[in-house]
Amino acid sequence: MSVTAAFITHEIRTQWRSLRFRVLAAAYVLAGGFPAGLLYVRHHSAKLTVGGATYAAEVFFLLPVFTAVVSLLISVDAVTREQDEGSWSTASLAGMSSAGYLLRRWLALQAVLLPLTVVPVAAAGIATAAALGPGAVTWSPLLGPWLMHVVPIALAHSALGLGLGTIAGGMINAVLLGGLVLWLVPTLINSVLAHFGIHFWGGWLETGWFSLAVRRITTPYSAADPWPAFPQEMSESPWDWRVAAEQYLSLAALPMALAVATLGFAVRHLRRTRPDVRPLRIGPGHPLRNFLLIVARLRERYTSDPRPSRSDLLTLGAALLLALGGLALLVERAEHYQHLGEARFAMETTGKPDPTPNDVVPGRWRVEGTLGPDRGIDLTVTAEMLNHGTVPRGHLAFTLNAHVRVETAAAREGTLRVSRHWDRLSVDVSPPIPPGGSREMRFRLRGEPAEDRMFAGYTAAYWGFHKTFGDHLHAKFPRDLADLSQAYQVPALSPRRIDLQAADLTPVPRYQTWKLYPDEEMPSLLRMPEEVFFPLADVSLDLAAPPGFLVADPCGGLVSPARPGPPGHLTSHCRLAVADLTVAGGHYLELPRPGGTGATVAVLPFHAALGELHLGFLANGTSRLDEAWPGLGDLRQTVVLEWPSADAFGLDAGIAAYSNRWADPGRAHITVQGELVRMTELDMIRNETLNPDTLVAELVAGRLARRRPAAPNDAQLVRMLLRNLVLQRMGKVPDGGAVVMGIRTGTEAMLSIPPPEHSYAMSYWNNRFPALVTALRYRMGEEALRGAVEDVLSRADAKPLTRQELYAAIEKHSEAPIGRMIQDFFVEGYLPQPILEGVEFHHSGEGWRVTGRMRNQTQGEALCKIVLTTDLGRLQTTARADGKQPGDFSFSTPRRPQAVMLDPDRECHRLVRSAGGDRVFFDGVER
Amino acid sequence: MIELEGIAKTYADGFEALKGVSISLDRGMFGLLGPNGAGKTTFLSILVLALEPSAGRRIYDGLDAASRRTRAEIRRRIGFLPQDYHPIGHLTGREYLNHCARLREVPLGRAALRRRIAELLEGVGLERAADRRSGEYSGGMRRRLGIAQALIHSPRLLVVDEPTAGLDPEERIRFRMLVTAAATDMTVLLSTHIVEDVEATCPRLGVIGRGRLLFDGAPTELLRRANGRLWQMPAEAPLPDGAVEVTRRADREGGIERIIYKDGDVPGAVPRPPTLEESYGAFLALQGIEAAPADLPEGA
Repeated sequence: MSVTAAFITHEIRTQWRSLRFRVLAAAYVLAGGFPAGLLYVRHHSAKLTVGGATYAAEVFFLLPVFTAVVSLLISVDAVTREQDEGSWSTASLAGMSSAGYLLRRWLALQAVLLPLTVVPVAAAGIATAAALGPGAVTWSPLLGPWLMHVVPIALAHSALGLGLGTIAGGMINAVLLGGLVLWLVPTLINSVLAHFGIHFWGGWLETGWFSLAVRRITTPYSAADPWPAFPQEMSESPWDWRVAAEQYLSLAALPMALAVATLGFAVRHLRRTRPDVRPLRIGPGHPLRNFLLIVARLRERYTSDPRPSRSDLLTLGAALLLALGGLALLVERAEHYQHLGEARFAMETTGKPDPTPNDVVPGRWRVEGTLGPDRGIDLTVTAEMLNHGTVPRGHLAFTLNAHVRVETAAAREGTLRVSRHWDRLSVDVSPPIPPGGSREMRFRLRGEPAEDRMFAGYTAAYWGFHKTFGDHLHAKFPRDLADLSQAYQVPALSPRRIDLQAADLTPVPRYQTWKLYPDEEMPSLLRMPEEVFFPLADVSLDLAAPPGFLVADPCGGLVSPARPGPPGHLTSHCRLAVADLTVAGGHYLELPRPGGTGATVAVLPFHAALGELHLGFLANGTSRLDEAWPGLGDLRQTVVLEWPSADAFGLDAGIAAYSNRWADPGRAHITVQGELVRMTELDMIRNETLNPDTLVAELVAGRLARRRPAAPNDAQLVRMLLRNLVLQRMGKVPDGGAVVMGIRTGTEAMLSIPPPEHSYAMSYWNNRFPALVTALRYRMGEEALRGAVEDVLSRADAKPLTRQELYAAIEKHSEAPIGRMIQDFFVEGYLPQPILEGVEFHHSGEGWRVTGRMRNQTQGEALCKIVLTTDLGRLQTTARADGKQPGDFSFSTPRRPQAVMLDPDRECHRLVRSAGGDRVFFDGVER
Repeated sequence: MIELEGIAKTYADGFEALKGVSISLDRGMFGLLGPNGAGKTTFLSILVLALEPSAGRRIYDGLDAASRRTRAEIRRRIGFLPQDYHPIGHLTGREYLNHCARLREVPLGRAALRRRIAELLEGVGLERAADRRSGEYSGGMRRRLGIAQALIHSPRLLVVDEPTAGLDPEERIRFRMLVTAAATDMTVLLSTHIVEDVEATCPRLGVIGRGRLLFDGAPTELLRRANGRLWQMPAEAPLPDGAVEVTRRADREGGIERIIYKDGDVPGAVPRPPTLEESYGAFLALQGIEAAPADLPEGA
């Protein structure tokens, strides 16, 4: 038995027999495995169908902190107990070096700690198997975080504990010294690195997630406050070890460097031989005698061991080198992403190059080559650009993923000069493309397309890259610096999913300028304009797909390992905006298509039942599409994929779940790109059935929108208009009709706005807009409105559809005058609040005369029906009122009146507050 | 052969514990006596490389402790039983010895080591308690286990510090026998303030006081120095001029008498043949060193 094995045996034996260890271990196992047990108990009542990934994640939210604490305590206890018990003086006479002793001790501790850390993880696996069956246990979410997070934490914190315990020589001293090391050293490192624009924020133990997890576990679920909900939904898509490893490594490097350095220094402080230090000569009457005596003793206590062996010195050197290596790795990562960010920032600042002129549009566009087998692509793009203008054009600009290289670029005729900056390609062809002429170019592309995730959290996503990186670049204080060492890349080709966007596959013509513009609400915030021009091209694809993946494209191309035939070439052709080109895929299970006319629905294998629940009607073939909007064809070419969020790649994947919980309840659960439909995984795992009509509406809206892309600022309006039109055609008219109801006092202002450009105005899109579309339908008729939409979508115009064009078409197709309505409600955003005033009932002769006013309490035109009910039926008239001018009305009837009602059929677009004011009953008293 | 030359130690707070101690130790027992605070523990710590001296040389069988290359080898040659020794309480005696053997890289196979441990346990009389946790051992059993661990690797130098303090007479005798047996083929340094232990086991002893080695020789030499100079007299009688009090003790009638050291006759006093304990006491008294209460001979 080797000495190391003896150390291990000894450690296992002594720890196992120690009551302190047993209590600590039991607490660790119980606390660490508790979420898995709780999830098992609650899994029948959970609002989500959670799989193995959630069981694993819930355990791993807690385990890092627990592991760190247990590792520190056990290791400090192990070393100080040995010294306290008095056996140290005999152990210190061992012939081995101090380094040999300490390293063996550390290794031996792992023999105790690592099996201990496995127990809660195993509990998660067992709970998964017990709740969902053995097939539901997915190993990667269990093994990955354990191997790359928990184990390194145990290794590092035990090294830290052993080192601190050895140096400090006692539990309390070790804790104090540990606090100093873990706070002071990173602070010093950051102070130095701040001069180079680098800052490490740490976060290895994920204490934020830990405390949130504790809160979630201990707080009952409330729909009003879904943040602390338990369990946490996680993606069941296959794990991407490389992406996770990159993030774990960046988090672990600094603490591990500290731990290694501490252990290295501990080799020099084992105190097998107390050193001889130069004595302080302190006179008996010295005023600071006692203090100086303490200092002298501390010097003696903490001076390093004398006459270290060669192996001790080598170990210390190696430890310091390793620690420096860890630090260097972080610095290198920070520098790497700093360079990437600077390149992007610089390009965004310059606004170069000039975009492609609008009259040069793509013609035939062919993308062929190979995807994978790893994360790379090797493609050849044959791109034809047509000059529809009147002057020769020699300059073109394209967008291409920054991680895709242009290996070669050539033109069929003439020459072609490409200059590349960040994701921008400036292409100058010579001779220029003549008016009416074309130029075919060929690009050979290679690389690993990916998205750089430079900043953690959603704040950066809101502020945008330019501001966030600009703040980092021009930071006044170290605290303003972002930790770029924790940046990572989300690969377009990953075991988790294949998500190749157009710029990952081909240079995408850029028509919009790259010049930053000030945000409307916050002019100091500069934003990059999005593309607004999406000319259609004849796109063809011929791509060798990576084996084992189901891969689809928006033209209806599909490669599936489940289908017979040679493995995979994605071959398709359609008319599509180049910017809409995409290839999506993953490891999926296809739902059966009994009729053969339905869509291909592919879901993650664990979610087969959920896929059937939510999307089965699409696979079975659907006639609803035709009901919703005639002439759209069937779903044979449509591929519906369950879609894991890009956030699933991040270690803070819980953020995706939280954003989903807060998301607009009326949102689309699917996104449509041509024939390719993606349904968010986090929607899929909900246990309540999604309304199929909303899915169909989104599908139809997507198909309609494909006919003609909308301008980015108006895309949300067009999408919502189409979606609401389809829903209302299918009979899903809002309960309030054209009336906006159920609004809390004080929130009216949120609705009195024009249709926003963004989707997060939930009150508007879910409450007011359906009522507004209903009012529009009532006013102009459903077919006229549909005709207006068909009109704008069918225009063979390469320019994107704008709201102004849409409004003009609606006005044109409406037989009733509708200009004021559009101006007031769509352009100005007014929301009338009409009420009845001054209603009087007069009996004159043989009949009754009823008069009154409709007064609009806010702005905009209220054109509403006024109804008088009598004992023999009802009379009606129309009143018009705006903010300044009330509308008078009067009725004459021989019958006794009962009540006057404002718009009882809810056809008039207005806001009804709970205060009433829309009906007056005749109480028998004449006025 | 272990040679220590001019060993001095001044602690960081300025306290001079040793002031140039030189000694050479050969095979056999060497008893080290000295009152509390004399520097015994400092000396032992320096001897077993647990403390770095401020000055002096330490040579162990020709290996100089000043060289970092030789220290591991020197450590392998030392067995040490400290005064405050406790074995690892969670281990049985057998497991503990096995651990110590592995720690000290005893070059024995599994079976041979098992035999060696069994022999040691038998030698220290712990064979029956070998599989009990050492945390349950009595003080004497722990000391015996301590001797076993100090001998497990067959050291060339065995250093035992106050091994019999707190033991009952039976255990003390057993312990002396153990140590004596070990000394047949190694150097054994027994540090104690119990003179009786030294008298019973050591053919050579040293006395440390005020940081110096005041005496180094055979016990008979210490006895010889006191022979004819010790007197016993009633405690209430005045101390004669030129005499030093060595100790006090109860007389047979229940009174207190004192034993004094003086050259020449002492009227009214009874001459007394010296014991080693009294000779040691007289030696210290002559050096002007007041023995601490713990250093007083029993019965005083």
